[in-house]
Amino acid sequence: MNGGKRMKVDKTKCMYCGSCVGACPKNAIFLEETNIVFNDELCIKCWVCELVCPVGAITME
Amino acid sequence: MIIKESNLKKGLPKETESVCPECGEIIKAKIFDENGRVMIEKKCSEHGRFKDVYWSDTEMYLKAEKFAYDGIGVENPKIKAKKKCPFECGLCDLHLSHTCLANIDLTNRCNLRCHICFANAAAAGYVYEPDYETIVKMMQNLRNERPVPTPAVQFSGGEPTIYPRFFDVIKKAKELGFAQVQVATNGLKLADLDFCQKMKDNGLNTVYLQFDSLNDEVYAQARGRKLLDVKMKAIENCRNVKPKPLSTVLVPTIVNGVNDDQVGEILNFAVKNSDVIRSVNYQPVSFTGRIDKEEREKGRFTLTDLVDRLESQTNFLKKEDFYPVPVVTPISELISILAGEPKVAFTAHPHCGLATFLYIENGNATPITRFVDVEGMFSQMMRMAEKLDKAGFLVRLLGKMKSDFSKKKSVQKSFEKYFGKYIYEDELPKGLNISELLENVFSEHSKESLGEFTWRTLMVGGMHFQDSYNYDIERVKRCVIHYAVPDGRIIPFCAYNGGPTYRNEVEKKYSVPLDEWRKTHESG
Repeated sequence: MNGGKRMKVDKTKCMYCGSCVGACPKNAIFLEETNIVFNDELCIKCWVCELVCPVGAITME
Repeated sequence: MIIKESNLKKGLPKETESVCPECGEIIKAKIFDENGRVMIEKKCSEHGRFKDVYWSDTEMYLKAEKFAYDGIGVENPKIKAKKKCPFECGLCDLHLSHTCLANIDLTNRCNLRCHICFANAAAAGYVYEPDYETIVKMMQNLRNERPVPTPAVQFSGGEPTIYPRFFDVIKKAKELGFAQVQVATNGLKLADLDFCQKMKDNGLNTVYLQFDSLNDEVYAQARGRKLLDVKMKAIENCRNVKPKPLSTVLVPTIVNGVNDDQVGEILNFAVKNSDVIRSVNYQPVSFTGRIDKEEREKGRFTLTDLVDRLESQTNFLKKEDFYPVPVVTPISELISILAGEPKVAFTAHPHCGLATFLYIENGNATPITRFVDVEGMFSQMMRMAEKLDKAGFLVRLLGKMKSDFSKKKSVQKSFEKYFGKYIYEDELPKGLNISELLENVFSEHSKESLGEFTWRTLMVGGMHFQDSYNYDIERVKRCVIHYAVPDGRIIPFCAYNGGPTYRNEVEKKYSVPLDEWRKTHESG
């Protein structure tokens, strides 16, 4: 899908608030203690995570 | 006695002390009537004159003063021999009230970025997030307050629900004996039912849900994204928590010209959902940070504006239904004497908050002031408490000798005997047995019965936190809502967030810069 593009977290911006985790319609984002993980197989590139991120840390690349 | 006659100056005009919004110096201020509105005006020798509305209704301002009571302060203040309020907060020996509700900020991180907020970690450039052990110490400190250990704690932030050990904190709060454990939240995490259930299972009593509007555009503008569906889901989830709903309080921040047209609609919504919503607690906006005069004048909203909008936007409320917070202190006095130990007393300044109770039956709301003579009943309670206090230990001895069974009966009887005449029988809603309801409040000196009481009723009111434009130090001295901070101090709300603004100093001392904090999150 979308030519192999994927969502990416900029760790110099991320505040680990979990906003994207709750918003993801496919439950494809996981907040670990010191990391944010995207499951690229579940991700449908709907961009909701990018929309809700309060610090603009998520982009598609 | 845990309350006493208030030494507040009564009537208008009067003098008080305030702060200069520019330099923070303590300066004299005058409070006076101007065309039916109460104004506060002050002059800083360096920065000139400042004037703002204190209460928009002089008549209500003067009425509220009649119900002022002062507290007796705390027995073990951290700061002794203090000279000047609001410097050296801690609490100090000048403070007149004990802590009725304590705030603890768990973190300044947040999962929203509101245009109106400069406090969150991303904007501030540092992370303030005391570790679990520090939070526990802060809670113990509150429970050590005498003569009344702090009965209620509210976790806030930032967004407290994203604190790593959030559930552990709730559980510990309950273990330490807080009767009321609350969380102030934007509701994002509560859109998950499991999360709500876990809060309940760990002992949370009440959710304070930020709820500015039923119009999604208000959220989009103020909070940066549409949130109404999240709020609705959060309320639904609190309702579906087992075994009983998680009590929810709606907290709308009201800005004149932005959402003051929404207050009635929000209340009607709460009435419809009063199985889970037990209170609406409006917060007129406080202007922290820099704001130009025009914008401030346009947005200023006072407690009497709130009452005015509630009167015009609902078909069941009138301004006569509203009373200031300390009106209920005679209940505390009476219960303290009957129980033989000091109980929480809401001895706030009479101009800090206004509220009333609605009785709800089949979706219809009736203010209880329509069938209870509130003023008569509370002054009778005060007279009774004074009499019983003189009778001293005999009362307590008698109280202890009675079995629980006979106590229940006798309380009901005494209620009818002493307070029956303050009930307007003809006005009573059909389904309501008021003495049974109130008897529940008085017979068991526990939160359980109070909980049931508020469950069948809905509290509606407002608390106006101060900013440097309307700052009145007499209000700070009587503040009942305090912040616990890591170094052991307990600081009145309006000194923490306004005036001397201890928040700045505390967060600076106990926070880490963003870069440093991120390093601990780089391993992945």
